[in-house]
Amino acid sequence: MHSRTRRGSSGLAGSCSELLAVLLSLTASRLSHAQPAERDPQAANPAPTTAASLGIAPNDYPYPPALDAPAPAPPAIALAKAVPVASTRLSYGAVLSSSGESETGSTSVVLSPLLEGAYAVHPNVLLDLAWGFGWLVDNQGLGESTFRAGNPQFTSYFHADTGPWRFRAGVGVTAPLAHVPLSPDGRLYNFLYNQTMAMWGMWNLWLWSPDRMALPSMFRVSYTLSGGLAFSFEEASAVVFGVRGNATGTESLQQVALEVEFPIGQSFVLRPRFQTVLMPSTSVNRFQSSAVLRGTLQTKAGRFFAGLLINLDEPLGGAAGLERWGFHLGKEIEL
Amino acid sequence: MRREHRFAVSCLGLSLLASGIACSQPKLAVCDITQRACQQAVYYHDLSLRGDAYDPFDGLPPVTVITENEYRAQLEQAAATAAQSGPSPWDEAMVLLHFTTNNSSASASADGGTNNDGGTGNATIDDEATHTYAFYDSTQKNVTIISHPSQTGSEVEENAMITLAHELIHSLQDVELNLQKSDFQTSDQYFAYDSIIEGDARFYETLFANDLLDLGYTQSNIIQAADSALNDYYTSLGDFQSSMFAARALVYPLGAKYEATAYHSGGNAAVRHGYAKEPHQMVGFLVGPDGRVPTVTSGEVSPVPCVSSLPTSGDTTGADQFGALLFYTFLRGWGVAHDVAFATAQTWTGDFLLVQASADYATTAVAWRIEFSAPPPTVIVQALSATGELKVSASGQALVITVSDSATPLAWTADPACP
Repeated sequence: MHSRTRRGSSGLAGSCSELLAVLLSLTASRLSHAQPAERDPQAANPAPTTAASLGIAPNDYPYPPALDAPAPAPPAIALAKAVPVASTRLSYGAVLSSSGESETGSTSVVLSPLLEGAYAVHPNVLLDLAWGFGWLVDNQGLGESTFRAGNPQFTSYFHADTGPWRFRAGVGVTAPLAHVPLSPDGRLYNFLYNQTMAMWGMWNLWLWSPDRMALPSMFRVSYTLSGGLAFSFEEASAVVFGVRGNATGTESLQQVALEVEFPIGQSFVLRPRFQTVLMPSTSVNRFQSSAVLRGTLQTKAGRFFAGLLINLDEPLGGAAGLERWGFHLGKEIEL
Repeated sequence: MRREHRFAVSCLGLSLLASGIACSQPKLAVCDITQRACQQAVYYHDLSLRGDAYDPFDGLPPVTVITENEYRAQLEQAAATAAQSGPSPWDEAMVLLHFTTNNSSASASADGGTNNDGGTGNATIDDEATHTYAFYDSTQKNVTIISHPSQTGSEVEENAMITLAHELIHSLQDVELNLQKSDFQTSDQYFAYDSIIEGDARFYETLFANDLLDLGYTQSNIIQAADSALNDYYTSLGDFQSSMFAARALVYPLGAKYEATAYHSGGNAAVRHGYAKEPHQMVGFLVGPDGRVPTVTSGEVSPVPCVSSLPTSGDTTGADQFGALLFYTFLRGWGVAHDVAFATAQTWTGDFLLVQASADYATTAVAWRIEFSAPPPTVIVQALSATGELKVSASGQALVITVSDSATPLAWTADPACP
């Protein structure tokens, strides 16, 4: 199943059949965990961890390894990608997004920290809480800068790794703490929330949409080639409905992203990404696409990153768009 | 391995190329606002001018296109509904003070609806049906465009685009401010609130027109542009049908100047903060070319005289604070020159207007006390007293004006028991 020849062909049909096989094996593995006393040792014995499943070329290590031989130590970069074994059950992450604009006599800076904490209740199950904030500072309002809370999102993730494949799926719910009262301050608040959504290219816009709550579900699959080159596909959908203030109606949102991971050296990964968000039916343009380039540095203290998001098309980007962008700096969740 | 790299790079490149093609949009050009693409272009340009990002839930509002005849029918229906309302002592009071004439009294209410016409006759309706390009309805949250097939040419299209830009600013405001706010304590508060709403729309409408028509406005000369527009209003104030209508028209350029002043100092960021610190009295908007902003006070004044023989409570009496703008247009309506009227209005610190009427509305009496930070010029007293209709007394830094339609003289009293 994990032969180098089939992976090398990398055809779509091959990948799909491989994915199906992996999913089936995962299901079998989970069933066997659920009923350990009844399992058939012959049928449900999970596949052993092999060099091939770790993305290691067969020439580097004997395949299959001798049963009594010590497990080979894979390269550090492959370990970081394929088998992210957490040393703790609790992990924290944070992203500081920023954007700004200058006009004669003023400079406005929008800062948006997104804090995240995750707890592993099971090797494959994470409980995650993410909560963002917005802070607008400009020299027209020194001493009275504008600060608003986003919508905290609680998510339960299931994740699994099998060979070169990594899967993650989750469902969540947000609390409608982002709020814009209709008042003379409303323009400042709307500006802040809208700028924050723009810095993310509308990705996960339900984290910032005022007076609404959401039920998001998300899925991500990654495939790692030997040498650490990896491809990821990410999709999320959410039902978003107005619950406060003037927000009314129910909308269904979708978003997809493609990401490539280029390892450079032992600990640095360059990650170009393309994402598209299907916005609410009330939106003028239904799609917002953006390009992201993120550099990730793996250290002993965690995985840190810096990146830049450029909106590509209207309404936030493009020649006639609003030319919004976002700079992102932070530390990723590592569980 | 190399093949995989090429595949990944190719995918990414194709995606970026596709997005790049998708995002290439034409620049702002003259277009027909009844067409969706034109509406969208105007909307995006508004967003860009205002420095806002994009609200995906409350974007371009629904737009309906109707014919001139359909719009005329709507106006006639509204006029018929308005005509059904019963008599109000305020209508007669406004006529007595020359804020309105009998012809335009149906639209005299200072805090009335958003339809700021100067009358409700057929001529007015015809004029409005012919010259209105679009309007925003905050209750329905939609924009209505009136198509004028008989009007052709790029100038018509340009004017229509500029109007649509103005109306779409209102749709943006509708998720920031309460456009349906009605709990105003005074007419002065209402006018001040309206100034920030219409002034904001007028200001960005001006920037839109600047981009469309290459008018040459920049951040450095935008105040001069606002002053120029205001001067046009001040000069042509006599053309308005009434002082009340003139005041309602002046909130547009006065609010626009307030925003232009902020924009000049710090662009859209300053406008956003200026928006949040809007003056709650019209005196705060009466800024002349010298840039001096009048002091906004509590607006409280001493009691006004009243007629003890008329009811002091119920439907036939009422009180209000008209504020500096209505006082200015009132003076202009009585023939006071702009410079004197404007300078005096800038010294306004408060006013109180009391209207009393008999139960059968046969007799109406009005008392209006206006206080200033400096004694009002005597030419004002002379102008107001010239026809003998008004009784005007100046006392220190206050003016007291009384008027009634009673055939016999009324006994005015300073009895504090009056409301």
